[in-house]
Order: sequence, then structure tokens, then C-alpha cells
Amino acid sequence: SEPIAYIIAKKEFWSLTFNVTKHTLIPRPCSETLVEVTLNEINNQFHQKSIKIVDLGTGTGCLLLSLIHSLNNNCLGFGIDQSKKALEIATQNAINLNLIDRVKFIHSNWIENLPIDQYDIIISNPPYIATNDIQSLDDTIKNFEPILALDGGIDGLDAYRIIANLNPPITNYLKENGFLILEIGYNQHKQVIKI
Amino acid sequence: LIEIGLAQEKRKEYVKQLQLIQEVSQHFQILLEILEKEKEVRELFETIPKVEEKELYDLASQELEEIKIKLLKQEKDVLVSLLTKDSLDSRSAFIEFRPGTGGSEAQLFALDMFNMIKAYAELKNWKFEVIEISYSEVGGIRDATVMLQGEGVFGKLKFESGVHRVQRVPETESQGRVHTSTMTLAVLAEADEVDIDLNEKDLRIDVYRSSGAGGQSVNKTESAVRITHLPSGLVVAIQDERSQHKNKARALQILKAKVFNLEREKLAQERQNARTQQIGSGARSERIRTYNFPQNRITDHRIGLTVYNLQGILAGELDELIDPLIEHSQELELGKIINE
Repeated sequence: SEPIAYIIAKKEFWSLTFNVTKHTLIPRPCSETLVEVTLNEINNQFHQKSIKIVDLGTGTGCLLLSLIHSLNNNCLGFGIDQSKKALEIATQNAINLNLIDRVKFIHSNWIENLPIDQYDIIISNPPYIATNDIQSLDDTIKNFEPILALDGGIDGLDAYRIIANLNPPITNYLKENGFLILEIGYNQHKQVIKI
Repeated sequence: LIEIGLAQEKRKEYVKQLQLIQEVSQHFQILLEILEKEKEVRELFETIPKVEEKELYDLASQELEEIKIKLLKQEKDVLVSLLTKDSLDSRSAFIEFRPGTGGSEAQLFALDMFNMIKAYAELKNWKFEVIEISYSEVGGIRDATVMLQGEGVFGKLKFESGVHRVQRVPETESQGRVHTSTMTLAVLAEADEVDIDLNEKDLRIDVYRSSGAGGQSVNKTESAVRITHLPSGLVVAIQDERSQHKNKARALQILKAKVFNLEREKLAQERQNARTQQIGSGARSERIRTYNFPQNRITDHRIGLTVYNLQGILAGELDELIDPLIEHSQELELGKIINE
């Protein structure tokens, strides 16, 4: 029961086609909400000036590239991932979508190798499934997709704790009116806010 | 600023009118030339002694006949160019296929019609995009929506809207009896922002949301979208492998076309009461054609046309039916103009 997306090695997201392999999480339709929300914030606040966006855990690059694709040519993207294989896929996707000159992919453990700067938006869809819950996931997920992109530790919230406790703090990397936009799991709302 | 806008609109109108006038005058010019030629040949013809120069006489006689035919055609061209063109004719269109009465046979017939339109699109070099299709167990279709893109699509396919009826021996029929079933085809001209502006407040957009833990814990494609146009009650639902973003965009396009089509139908109904000439009633439920397999014939009930090329037409030679319909429609239009 290998996922269709892996069989054909492609998945459509935000009306764009992305290459996927077993080293990348398959883009989920509901993650389009993150793109939508981010674009709304940009339109409301930044009025399409030149924006710099960072994507932590970029995977296929679908979130970052969908955003950059929707924005003007002055907007730049920085995609971070700890998996070199995932970055290869993301780079290929950027080339396919003609966005390679506006995005940079960086092999890094969170912000370790991210150029020090003040960015407008930082987004992330980090792993948020509790370790024990992974067994009860559908076979098409647990047997095929990269566990690293799913496993959020005992309570699923490890990634959010890491982000909240980065050194230097994540806020150093954001402009004063900048945004951190995160996808979170079901029922994690209150806890993530606390963190 | 508004005045500049109005002036630009007026200018566009003038340019359009000018083009129309140029077209008509071009046709008319050709007509005059043919009349000139006819006069020449006729004068020559009348000087040829019939018996002594039989060969020459016959030649001139034949040429005169040919000119007469050209003249008739050119007169018609001039008249047709005077007709107000249906501005929607040049547009792309959405086509919906739905089986009617007849169970699985109807579903199979709906698939035949689907393939017929697909083959026709190929011949015409139009882009045939399947927006949604759901197959039935027997291999027919439960419903399908496609988009045909190309110049003049709607003008050719607008007469396909209605109920198509098939008479044949179904594959499942063991005793060789002929069954009748139906399917409905709906052709909607693509609408743009100028035609229809859907107010966001009038729309209810339902997007698939997992009940319970979704997101990373689910990777089956659930990108279904359903949009309801509250004022009219029209609904478009798409569930398909594409992204939710794409499905929403497509659903909006189709909804626009449906709302636009509905308003046009209403207008046509109102006008119908004043004028009686039109091909068929245009009603969604009108039975427009019968496809009889044992007799290899297709009959279009609106113009009483029967052709014996069922296989060819199913394979895409639809012009055999469409051209007479267009011609008939033009004649009705001309009739209207002449009577006024």
C-alpha cells in the first residue's frame, strides 16, 4: 500500500506539481491553509514589498515555493532541512518551478546555518506526532514516509520546544513586525501557545 | 477617471462596429465582383450561336451555371455577415455528462458520449481536460465534467445541450432486445469577471476537513471542495487527486459558468415569449437526438435531420450534425431580420 504520490513521485500542492520521494513528507492538502494564512498576513501587513521568508524543515519545499511563487519577484525564500536528500528534492522542485534564483536551500539543524538577518516571515510544519501514536498511523504513512518528519517526541511537542528555546532566540531572526507561522497538530493549540 | 474609462469603452465599441462593417462590406464587394463577372459571361453567351459553335456554347453555359451557384453562396455570406454574432461562440466551455434513465446501459451510453466529444475535440485540436469523472462498476460513467479550451468551442458545441437517447441491444441483454436509455449533456460557456461577479458573501465554501487528528497523521488525498451559490442554490463539488487549491479554483470557474448560464437561460425564456423562432427550446430536459444502433442512424429532432454514419460520428465526425444545425440556426436568424 505504497502511497500513490511515491509511486508516481509527484504530488500537487497549491496548484503546483512537486517531486516527492521517500525522503520527504508528502505535502498534505490541509497545509495549504498555512500558505493561505501567510499570504493573507503578507497582503495585510507588508503590502508586497520585498519579503524574506524562512521555512524550517522545508522537505519538498512545497510551502516555501508555493509562497514565493505567489509573491513578487523581489521576495526571497530560505529553506532549511537537516536532511540532505530532502534538500536535493526541494532544489529540483525550485528548478522545475523556475524559482531557483529566488530561493536558497540550507543544510542545517534548525537555525544553526541560517544567515544571521532579520526576516519577515518564518514558517514551519515541524514533526508533531507523538512517538507512540506513530504505530497507530495508517500503514501508508508509517511504513513509507520519513519518520523524522513526523516524530515529535513523547507528547509530539518537541519541535515547538526547540523552536521556543533556540539560541540565539528565534525572535532575533524576525523583524519587529515579523511573523512566526506554525502548523500544529490536532488538539495542540493551547500547549503550543504556552510553549 | 470614470470619464476616461467610459471613453475607452466607447472606443472599443466603435472599433468592434468598424470591424463588423468592414467584414460585411468585404463580402459585399466580392458579391459585386461576381455580379460583374456574370454580366460579362452572359453578354458573351448571348452572342454565341448555339448550333454552329456548340462546344463554346456549352462551355459558356456551364460557366454561367457555376457563377449562379457562386452568386447564391455569396449572397448568403453577405446576409450571414449581417447577423449579430453570438459573442459567446468564441469561448471555451465546460461540459457535463450525466446518465439518465436506463441504469447501467445509460452509464455506458454516457461514456460513449464522453468519448465522442473527446474524439471531436481531438479533431478540432482543442484542449480536453477532465475536471472530474467517476466510473461505474460496469465501466460506464456516473458523471463527468470536462473543460474544452479552444477558439470557437462554445459556438460548435452549444447545440449538444439536452437529452440524448440511445436505442440498441445492451451488452448485458441476452435475448437481443433493443433497449432505450438516455443521458444528459450540458454545455456551459466559460464566464469571465465581466459577465459574472460572484460576491464572496453569496458563496458557501466547504472544504474537506478531517474529523479528529488530520494533518501529518493522514496522507490520503482529501482535497474535496464544495461551493454553494446561496442565491441560486447551485452547487459545484469536486473531489479529485489535485490540490485543494486547484479544486477550489476549478469549482469557482464552473460555478461562475453555471450562474452565468442560468441567467442567460432566464433571459432567453423571457425573450422566448416575445419571439418564437429558435432551434429547439433550449430546455435542459429537451430530447434532442436519438442514436439508433441497429439502423446505424442518428436523428436530430430539432431540425428533423437523419444521418447514417453512427460509428463515424461517435468517433468524432460530429460536424456532420453540427454544420446543418448552425446553418439552420443562421437561417432562422436571417428570417427574423428579413421579417422585421
